[in-house]
Amino acid sequence: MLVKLMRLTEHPILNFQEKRGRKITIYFEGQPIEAYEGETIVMALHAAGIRVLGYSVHKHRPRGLFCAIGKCASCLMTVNGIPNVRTCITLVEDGMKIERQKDKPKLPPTVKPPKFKEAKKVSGDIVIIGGGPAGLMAAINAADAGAKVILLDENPMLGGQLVKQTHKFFGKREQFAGVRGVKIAEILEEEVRKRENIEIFLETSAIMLLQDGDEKLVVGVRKNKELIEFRGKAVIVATGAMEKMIPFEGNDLPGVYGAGAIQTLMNTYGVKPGDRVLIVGAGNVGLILAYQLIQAGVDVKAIVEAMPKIGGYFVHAAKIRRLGVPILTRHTILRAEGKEKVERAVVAQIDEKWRSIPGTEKVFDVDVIALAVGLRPSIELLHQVGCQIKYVPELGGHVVIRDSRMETTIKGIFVAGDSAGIEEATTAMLEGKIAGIAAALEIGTASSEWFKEIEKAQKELDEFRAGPFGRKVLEGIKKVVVE
Amino acid sequence: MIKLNIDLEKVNPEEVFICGCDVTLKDILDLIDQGITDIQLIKRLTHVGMGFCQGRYCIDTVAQVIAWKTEKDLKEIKLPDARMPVRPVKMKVMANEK
Amino acid sequence: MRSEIVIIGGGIIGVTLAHELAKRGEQVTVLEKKYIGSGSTFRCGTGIRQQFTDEANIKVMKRSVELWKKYSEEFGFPFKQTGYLFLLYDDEEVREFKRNIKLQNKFGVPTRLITPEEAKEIVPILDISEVVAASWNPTDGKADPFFATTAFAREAEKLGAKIFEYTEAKDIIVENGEIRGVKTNKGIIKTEIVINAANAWAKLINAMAKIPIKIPIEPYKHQGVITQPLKGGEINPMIISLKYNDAYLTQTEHGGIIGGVGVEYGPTYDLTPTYEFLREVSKAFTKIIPVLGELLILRTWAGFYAKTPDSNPAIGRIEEINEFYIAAGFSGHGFMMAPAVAEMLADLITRGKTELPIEWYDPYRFERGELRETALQMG
Ligand SMILES: Cc1cc2nc3c(=O)[nH]c(=O)nc-3n(C[C@H](O)[C@H](O)[C@H](O)COP(=O)(O)OP(=O)(O)OC[C@H]3O[C@@H](n4cnc5c(N)ncnc54)[C@H](O)[C@@H]3O)c2cc1C
Ligand SMILES: Cc1cc2nc3c(=O)[nH]c(=O)nc-3n(C[C@H](O)[C@H](O)[C@H](O)COP(=O)(O)OP(=O)(O)OC[C@H]3O[C@@H](n4cnc5c(N)ncnc54)[C@H](O)[C@@H]3O)c2cc1C
Ligand code: FES
Ligand code: FES
Repeated sequence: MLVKLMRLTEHPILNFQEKRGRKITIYFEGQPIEAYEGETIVMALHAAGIRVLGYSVHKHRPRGLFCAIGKCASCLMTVNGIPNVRTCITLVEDGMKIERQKDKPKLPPTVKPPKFKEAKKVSGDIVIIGGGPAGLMAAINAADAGAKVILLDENPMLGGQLVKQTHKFFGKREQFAGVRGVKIAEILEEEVRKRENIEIFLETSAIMLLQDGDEKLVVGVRKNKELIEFRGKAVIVATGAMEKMIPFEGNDLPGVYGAGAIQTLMNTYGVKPGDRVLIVGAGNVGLILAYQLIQAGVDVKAIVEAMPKIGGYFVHAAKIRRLGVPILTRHTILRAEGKEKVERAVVAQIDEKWRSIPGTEKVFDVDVIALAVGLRPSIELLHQVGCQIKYVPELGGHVVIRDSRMETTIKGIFVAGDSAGIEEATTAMLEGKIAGIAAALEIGTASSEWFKEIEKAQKELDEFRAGPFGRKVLEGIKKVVVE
Repeated sequence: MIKLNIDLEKVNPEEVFICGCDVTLKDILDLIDQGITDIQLIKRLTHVGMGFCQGRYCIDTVAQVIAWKTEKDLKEIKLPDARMPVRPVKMKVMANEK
Repeated sequence: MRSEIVIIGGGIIGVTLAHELAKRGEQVTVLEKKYIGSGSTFRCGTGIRQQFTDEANIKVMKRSVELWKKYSEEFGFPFKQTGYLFLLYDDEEVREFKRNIKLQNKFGVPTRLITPEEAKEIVPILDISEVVAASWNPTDGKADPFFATTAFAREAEKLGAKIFEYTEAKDIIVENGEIRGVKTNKGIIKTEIVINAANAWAKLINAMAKIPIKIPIEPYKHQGVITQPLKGGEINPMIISLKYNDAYLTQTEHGGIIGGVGVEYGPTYDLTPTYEFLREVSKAFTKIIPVLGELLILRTWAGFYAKTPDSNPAIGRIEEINEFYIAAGFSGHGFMMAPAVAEMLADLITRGKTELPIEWYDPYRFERGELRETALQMG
């Protein structure tokens, strides 16, 4: 048995000993590894110190985790003989056999001719894609407004990004200020599960969104093997965001992780991402990540930030500095070095023209490089179905045109949360609420009383965005909202 | 003009990976130098964004590199169409009766 | 600007024609509204076959394959004679194919009827439990549309042809039945000769020249699929199954399985992929080769079959407008025919005649109500 190298046993906020499921054994290239029910394959491998998940097809370069939410495809492995399984969103099972992929796969010997089944069909009034704060609030409100709701998420648990936020949230009391993100996720999940008119499908990816006669059709795949057709009169897309990647030498080495992936490892599954970390990006995500890493007992060597100023909240930055982590502004990463995984990071200072200044290079001995360089809305379903899109840098990239009730340019298709524009959980929840009610109103299950609730939520959004950080978002929203 | 968060002049573009399917920054820059800046064509010539993620992850970086190199605004760079399925799906899962 | 000949449309037909005309010393300009190949050409299934059911198409395709071979060697793009394998499932189908094979053999195409076991030797992963025979021609093949099209374009330019991308023909200036020039979004090009090679958009070009006869060419949406790459050599030939929804499939150089089925929509200029196609193509492919079920579908796309009522193209001169030619309406087989089409139309333009059976594609046949036997169409 490989020893458990990277499991967190002590954590000031989270208690993993209690949370972990039954202990089981999985096999990595024949070698037994201890794992716990309820965790994903990648987490179990990482806990055993296995970071190289496979090799690229052409140049055979090592591949490791990157996004941890099923979106980047860098974690594909062969599981029980089935190639190309996204191991970051697939749960371990006792006795599972896991292999690295090195080459283009060869086909197994001939199998029996198929028997075609009818796809499973599930119908409701409103189909909600994504179970993060936006989707959960949309579900709760649409259900209360009389709609039969179907909620699907490709992750094995509800909560979206919230399940990895161990810190207390800012904002107003009604929006859970002072409550930790993980706790908010628990509260919302409980509310959702309480409502009988919400049906939940986890480990279910939406792979296409279509107009089907008068209805909307969402084609989903559960656990990579079951096709399900979800039909409803309206659809709310709350698929969140994707982490941005930046180009630098060795940026594909295992150990170069998205900030979100590190949070998933550490805060959701209690697995240490590594021992020494360099963080790229000093926005709120980078700063909070630094703090969470230190809480988990990981050494944060530095945060580099290309801009001359720290992007995140001042209080977060001050706290990090007090803990002795240098924040190097006007610095960028030049390269990641290492053989099979990250062993060092080289950074340098840059001038106003983004050129590195000779002689300012610094080398950090780290085994993880965390990229916290921003998020971008996950709009692929909306783009595919034909919603009008626009590039709005204030909202994180390409977003969909919508009205103030979150309806896109296609009638009956709504958007909410980070997939409508990168912001925060608080605004995601409010947008989810608006979208949920607006969809229920449009399909006629809600009485006109509910208009007031929309107005209330819109007012709260306005208040929330009135702060200094809301200014940029408001600029962006001006560009996408049409009536 | 776009600012890439890094100094592209200083890095060895053969070691910078744009797509997890082994396409490097050099592959992209070489094409841009030949005057090819249409993402569709760059996809054809390098296979960038034609792997498992189908560009959902990596095409954004290609767009940024083009914008940076050609000194264009990102909004002028046309993204390829998003086509279904938005996640790779097994053929036997898709093969169902109506 | 002026040019002796203007070709409207930079698909495989436009560029092979430009190359052929430039080779003969003509001064030619291609107008392409987007980029070379962006119409149907880059969306095609790569297949090149001589297994047709009528004399004209067999002869033309035999010549085309000779030219594919010659030019791929000269210009260095991939063209492989990996064969076409038609799977046959009952006596009726076998009878029909025996007739076709006889005709193909008569014109020098070496197709033969083989047993299911022989078919399995060619493609070991094939499921032959329902197959009773197969029609096999090892000299059919496939080429990469991207590299082929760009190679012909490059060679044409070397010979002096001009290719203007992102240049859209907006109108054709005709005075007293004589062509004077073409209006584009970038200005006017003076010319006396225009060739309509706009395939799915051909009717719009015909309307610009106000040709007085009707040539019914309509755009129909057809789709293709590609899977994750596999080790090479799994499926070398193009496999066809008329029984399973006119399916065709093969493996690309890159390793993915590419192909399609006969799910058709139209006439339409819409190009959104459909769920129905994905479902039907998956059913057909897994019936033909069950292990394909294990592969991930990476992408689907749609393109146009520009169809005439008999699925044969319209190729020739329009007498009433001096000088206006057309080569359009290629249904699902315009890529494979291109080199021979270029040759016969260039013959007609530069010599007034050709050895290839161009009459079969007479653009006046619709007006006269003389439809041809429907060309064998895949997908
Ligand atoms: C480090 C960090 C710190 C943060 N701190 C704060 C804070 O202090 N305060 C605050 O307000 N906000 C904070 N946020 C932001 C907040 O977490 C997000 O804005 C919020 O989670 C967005 O919610 P959402 O519902 O739009 O998306 P998400 O929470 O991302 O949820 C989207 C869900 O959709 C699912 N999904 C996506 N595509 C598909 C598909 N095709 N099929 C099925 N399911 C799909 C995903 O699996 C996911 O569960 C922080 C974020 C980070 C990364
Ligand atoms: C899914 C699919 C699979 C196929 N498989 C095969 C196969 O296996 N084998 C085979 O042989 N064929 C196949 N085909 C058919 C083949 O793609 C076409 O017959 C062939 O590409 C036609 O070439 P073309 O040059 O005539 O047309 P196109 O490639 O469509 O070129 C016409 C060009 O004209 C341009 N244009 C239009 N209007 C204007 C204007 N006003 N000004 C300037 N330019 C203009 C367009 O932009 C376009 O690029 C397939 C087609 C599809 C859709
Ligand atoms: S898809 Fe698993 S790490 Fe990104
Ligand atoms: S990483 Fe290759 S397709 Fe995106």
